[in-house]
Amino acid sequence: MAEERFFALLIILLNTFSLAVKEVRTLHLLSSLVLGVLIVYRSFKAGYPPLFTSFDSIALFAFLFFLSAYFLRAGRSVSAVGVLLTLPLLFVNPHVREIPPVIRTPLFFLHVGTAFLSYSLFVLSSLFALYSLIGKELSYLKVLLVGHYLFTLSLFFGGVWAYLAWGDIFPLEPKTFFSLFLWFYASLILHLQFDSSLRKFIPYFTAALAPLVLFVYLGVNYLFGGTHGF
Amino acid sequence: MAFRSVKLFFLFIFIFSVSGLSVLFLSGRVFHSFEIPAFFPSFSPLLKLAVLAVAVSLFLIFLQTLYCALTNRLISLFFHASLAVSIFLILLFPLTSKTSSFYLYPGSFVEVNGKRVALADVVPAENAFSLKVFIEEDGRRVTGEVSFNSPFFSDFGTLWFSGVRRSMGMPLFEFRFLEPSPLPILLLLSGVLTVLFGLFYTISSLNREGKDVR
Repeated sequence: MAEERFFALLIILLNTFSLAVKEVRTLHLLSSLVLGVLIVYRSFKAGYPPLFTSFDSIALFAFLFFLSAYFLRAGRSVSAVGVLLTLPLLFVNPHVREIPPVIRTPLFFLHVGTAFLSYSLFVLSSLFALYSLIGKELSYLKVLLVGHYLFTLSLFFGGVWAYLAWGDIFPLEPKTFFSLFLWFYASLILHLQFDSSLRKFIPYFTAALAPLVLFVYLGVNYLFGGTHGF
Repeated sequence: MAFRSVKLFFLFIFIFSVSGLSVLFLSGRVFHSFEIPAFFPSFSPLLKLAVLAVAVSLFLIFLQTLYCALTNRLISLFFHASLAVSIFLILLFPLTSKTSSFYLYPGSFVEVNGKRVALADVVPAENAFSLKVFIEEDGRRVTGEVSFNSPFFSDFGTLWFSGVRRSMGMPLFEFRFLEPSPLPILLLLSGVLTVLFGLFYTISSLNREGKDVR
């Protein structure tokens, strides 16, 4: 367990250091590599791709976040958000749990993997929208569009899996409700540009996406439970 | 032509959020985590009403989107049309499908709408259990296997194994049975089309030069 804490501490130090240096892009790549090594290490330890525990889901989310930040040439403030995202790894229990039989399917990893990738892109588009509000123009809607498509893909995989596992395509429960709301909300942002009177609200709506994503990702399971709280 | 449906879409999301949250609150799901019991026992009719209301709003909004898409690009039209069909089918499925849930001991059976569903044997497998089952109707019998994430598809219906518990020292297996319905396969087709058209639409939007995503 000490190894996992060491990895988390290393990423936090790397990104804290990035606040003081000019070249942050390399540090984002380095952070994603360290998190990648952590995920591979955990995969061997658990015997399956680690997406199941809180620790692993946070590690994967942070990995995708830093990787997206590298490819999108994100700035220093993204490092600060990265530190906040990685910080829970120091406190969450990194224990390895036996994977329930219902989760032993490739559809689970496709569903969760695409969802996490879309979450990280949503958070990045939200940060880019904040940049735009302070004057630095960034095409955050393109990031949002890719994230929205991946989220659509995740809902599709989730629906197929839910049908095969329970015979239910869209079980009405808190996580699915808030996920559908998030999908509609992102769709709305993408449609706002078609209405001249609403276009000016796009950066504000996009900026509000990050807290909404964090709530759907972390808040819903802890507050409401449901079939997603394994 | 300006997309007049955007304000309607905005309104729809507001209605969706209010109706969805109401259903969650009234079903006791939200209070459940704070250990306050459900206070609205007749949840099912309310759920059907809410689903119907959302379905009507959703269908209207996508018809409006389709109308607007006619003036736009063809790929946008295909994407919105398949999306509308998918969402409509998702809402139609629980309202029209006939499902039953029941428990079976190994070697026992149950009668469901004139069909006999039986659990013949339990075989330990890599994925916890593999259950040998059969369904009989009018003297005809189909046999198959069910396990986690792997239902038994047959002409008589689809059978899922959803869990196991102990009763009187014996393992008791929980099943769910769905009468034959064309909706799941139609939904899978419309879902695949939505994902494919969505991919083309996303790529074409990303490649469009000049303005940001359209």
